[in-house]
Amino acid sequence: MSSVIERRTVPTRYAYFQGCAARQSCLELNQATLLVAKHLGWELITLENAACTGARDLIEAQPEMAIVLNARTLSLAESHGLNTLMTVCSTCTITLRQVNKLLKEDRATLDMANQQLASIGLRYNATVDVRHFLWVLVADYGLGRLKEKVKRPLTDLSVAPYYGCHILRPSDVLGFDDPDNPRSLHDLIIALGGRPADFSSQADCCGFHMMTIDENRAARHAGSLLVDAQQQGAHIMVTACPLCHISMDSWQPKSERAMKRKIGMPVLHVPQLVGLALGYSPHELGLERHIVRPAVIVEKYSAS
Amino acid sequence: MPPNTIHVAIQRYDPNRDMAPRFVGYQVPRQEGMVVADVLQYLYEHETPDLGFLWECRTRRCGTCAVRVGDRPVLTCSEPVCDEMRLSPLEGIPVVRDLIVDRLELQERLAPWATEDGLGAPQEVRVLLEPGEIAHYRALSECIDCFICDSVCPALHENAKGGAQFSGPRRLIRLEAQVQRRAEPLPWLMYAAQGNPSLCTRCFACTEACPRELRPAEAIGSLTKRLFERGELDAHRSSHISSFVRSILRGAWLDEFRLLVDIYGAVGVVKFIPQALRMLRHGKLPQPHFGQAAQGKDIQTILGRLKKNRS
Repeated sequence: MSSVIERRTVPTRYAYFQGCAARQSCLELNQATLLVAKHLGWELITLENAACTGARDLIEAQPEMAIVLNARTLSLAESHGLNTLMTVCSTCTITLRQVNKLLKEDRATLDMANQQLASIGLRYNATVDVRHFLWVLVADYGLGRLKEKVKRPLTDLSVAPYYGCHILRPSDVLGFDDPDNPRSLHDLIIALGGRPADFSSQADCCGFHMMTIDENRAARHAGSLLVDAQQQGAHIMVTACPLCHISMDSWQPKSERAMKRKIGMPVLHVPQLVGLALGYSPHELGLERHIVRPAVIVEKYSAS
Repeated sequence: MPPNTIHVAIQRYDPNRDMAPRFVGYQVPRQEGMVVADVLQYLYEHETPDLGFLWECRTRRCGTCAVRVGDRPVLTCSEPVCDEMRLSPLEGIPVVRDLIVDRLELQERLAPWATEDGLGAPQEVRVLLEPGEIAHYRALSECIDCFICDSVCPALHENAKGGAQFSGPRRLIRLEAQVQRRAEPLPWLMYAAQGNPSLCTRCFACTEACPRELRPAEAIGSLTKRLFERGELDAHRSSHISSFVRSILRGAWLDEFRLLVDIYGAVGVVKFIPQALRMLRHGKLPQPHFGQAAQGKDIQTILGRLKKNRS
């Protein structure tokens, strides 16, 4: 009975925070997110006036700036009367949630942020929850409902569920999946009719955040994940983060050189995988933008 | 499965005798309130007296009893048992025998900052703490050298493949603790810089695994801030941070195109041309941002005021 009540109170309007990657080098993620959200009846209010979270750089090196900048973004969601800010990037998620946790738990930090925000006529009342697209889909919308909407099950498709880091750890900031045994992507793949590959690197690091420090190391971090997925017989990999996507798709040729082997593992964004099962074509989901052509998908789903 | 029996598989390996590690299964009678260390003790006393494992204090203080249960590193002295367990030594550290890893080798890796003498006995300076700061100082000093953070660190494991070496979360959290205690922390910061904190992948595996909840990843972030403020951070990470700040102040969002130019310089980015062409073909090449974003003025106002307040 409680689930019926909960379902009725679940919001279907979300403030949508795109993040930098989905606005630039992963435009296809934004494209697929908007398409899937519309299909599922979610109203997304895109926060065009928001700003980059500053990723790990600002929160480490200029923490006060990171707090004020992200308090501004959170207050923009509030100003639309919304209390869920939906993200599509794991690093945006961890950074916004980390700042939000500080603002909610420490009155002095909230006061400091509001003092700055007052000069531009904004105020944050600490009412917003930051939730990743995957969490909104799995927990708020519900996989049962999603399953009813599947038009084209991903039958016979082995998908490596890649969680990565910033959607799992630290769990006292993220807190959705068990970092030792995450399930959300597995459950999603099953709901879409696919088969999750047995993929032990599912929560390992793709190396994105030290890519510009040591390219070869980063290429090996990503390469070993891709090789693991390949060895487990995965046809494709799915990731919840565009930064992981850059590491593993845009830079896959570099990983192939670092690992001294051909890999050719297509990597899909979560909304693209969902969109395929909902019946959208690879072109509508922007799959032609990927560096590694998802041939198995294009051949199977283009004609229908 | 018989009730009140624990089935445990333990990785057995003597590098002097065995070709490769193997798992051996045992059964142990369950007792009320049993922890993993009790299981090991039982096996040592009743089944296999040659089982290699360590423990000393049994109060989560000595850090010697860390092993993996399944894939999760834990302190055996406080980890409750479950019906079926698979125990193996910490990952990425040479095994002495069975569950014992080479702690001596790890301690030596810590030099020269293992002792204060290693830095020529820096001058003691009294640092005044605010009451609220005491808990934070004490927390960082509570590292028990269990090596769990190092054992889960992907950047540390990557050292074996050569190139620049990362000193690992345990060493860096200890240096952060030293830095916090010193009125003049520069020598300690320089040691931290030598350990290449920028090679940390920011994966938070160490923070998640630390049995004392000391948050080594955040300590690495704090060292990064200190090094950045003193102009001692490596050039790539430093340019990365500055580029983020410039982009946000000017255009609200990160200018991905400018980021690479800022880090590698106009000449250095030439090596990315093949990559850029590939991305251009697929419509993935980020465009440089021109002019100021509509919200740029607001952002400059709030962040600019912040800068003024800090000075």
